[in-house]
Amino acid sequence: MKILAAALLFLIACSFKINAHQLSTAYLNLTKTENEQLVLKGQWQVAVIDLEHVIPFDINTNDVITWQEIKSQKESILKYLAKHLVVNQNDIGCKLHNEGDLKIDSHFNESYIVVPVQITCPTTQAFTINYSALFEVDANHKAIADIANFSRVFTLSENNQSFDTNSPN
Amino acid sequence: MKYLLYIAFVFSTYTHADPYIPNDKDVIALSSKPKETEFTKEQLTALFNKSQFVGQTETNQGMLKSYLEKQITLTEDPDIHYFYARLLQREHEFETAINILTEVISRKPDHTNAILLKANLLMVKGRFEQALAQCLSLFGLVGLETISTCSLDVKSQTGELEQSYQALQTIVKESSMTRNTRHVLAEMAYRLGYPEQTITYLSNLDLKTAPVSLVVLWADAQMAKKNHQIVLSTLASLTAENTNLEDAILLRLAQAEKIEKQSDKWQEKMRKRVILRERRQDTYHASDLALYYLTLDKNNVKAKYWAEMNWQQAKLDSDKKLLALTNTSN
Repeated sequence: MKILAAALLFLIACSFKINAHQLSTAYLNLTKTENEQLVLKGQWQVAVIDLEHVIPFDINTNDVITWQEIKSQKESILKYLAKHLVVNQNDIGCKLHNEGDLKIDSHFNESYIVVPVQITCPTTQAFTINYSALFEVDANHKAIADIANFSRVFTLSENNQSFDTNSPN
Repeated sequence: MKYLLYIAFVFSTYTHADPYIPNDKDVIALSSKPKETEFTKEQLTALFNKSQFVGQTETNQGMLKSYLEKQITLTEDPDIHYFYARLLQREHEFETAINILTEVISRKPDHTNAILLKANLLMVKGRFEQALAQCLSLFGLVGLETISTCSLDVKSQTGELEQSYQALQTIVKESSMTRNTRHVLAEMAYRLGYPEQTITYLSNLDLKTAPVSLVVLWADAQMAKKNHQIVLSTLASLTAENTNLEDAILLRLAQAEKIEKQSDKWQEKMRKRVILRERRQDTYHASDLALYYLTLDKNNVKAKYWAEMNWQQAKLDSDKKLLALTNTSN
């Protein structure tokens, strides 16, 4: 029995490298406009099935998620994003607004919720973004970001990143 | 019915190039079952075993990582730390996994799982003498077949492939061979250029419940025998929706499809997967990406980049050959 158990266990630790898959991916696209303030406008796109891990969408528990069910959770979605997308400039928090409708998009055949994002910072100086959405349920979640023409990837270990739009990226 | 509604919705999204507002009753996605937040060891074992199968490897990886990262700070239970090492193995964080396993073994010297996994990881990292020592430390804990398979697997990576293959065949009886020994022999045969023997060793394998690595080996052996149509029809039938196919499986489907010249369905899926991997800056699929650029979308600069990235992580014979291929390919 001991030998059989060990053989089974050895199977698990077999000689090949196991193929891994971590595809929970969000997109954060923001373009900047400047006057005396820095304004970043754009959207956060997150897969419905990813966000469902933190916000229940299947309200009538019939195993499908309708647009009405997603819309009814708009407030929860915006609160969640406000908690997990924090922008600072010189230790002062920038303001996050979400004016506009939620929408739907598709990436790699998956449905994504499109959340409007507007961020206003007091000056045009450098700023930092702390992104922590979904890491609490999926340590391999990543957000592919295009922010003021800077291409970045937010991960659990690189969740706080600086941007200086006055210097070349 | 719900699947039909969802499929209808998915097709409808293709007609929208930009984000749009659906109708209230449109089905946007299928709900996934609520994820568990606590697991018994039995549940963890079941989850890890299930996540070796085709189409299953990504399903719970991120969730398990979040869970185990918390758990290892709360408990010294060797089994929990061992599970965490297995998870790190999947993401090619081999050195961290080895360190964790060293701790596990120091606390529980008869943790055979941990010893076997450590031997495997040391081998992948090219630390063959240390790997062999781990195999030999199993004397008195497991049977001769397990020790022989472990040791000869390591020896086969040190220039003694043919001898190791012959020795393992001699030691182990065909009739009572474990699946793991069959796997190791099949892999050795493939490396020796005997794909028909690889196929024979894997002939009784149920591919639906086999680890992805074994399915990949089976597909490579079939393609070496020019059985591309068998690869196409078999791999495509392993999962119902083909939505969660692993990079390595998609790659084999795309390779077989390219030879058969019937369509470009799998090649297109693989192309999109590569785009996503590169945008996400994922590095633990480096060997698949190198093979993609060697065999499908030929680009030697990118192939070499990914083969070198892979070589930084893993130093098995196959990794060395992959690197050599990118140096000779034009």
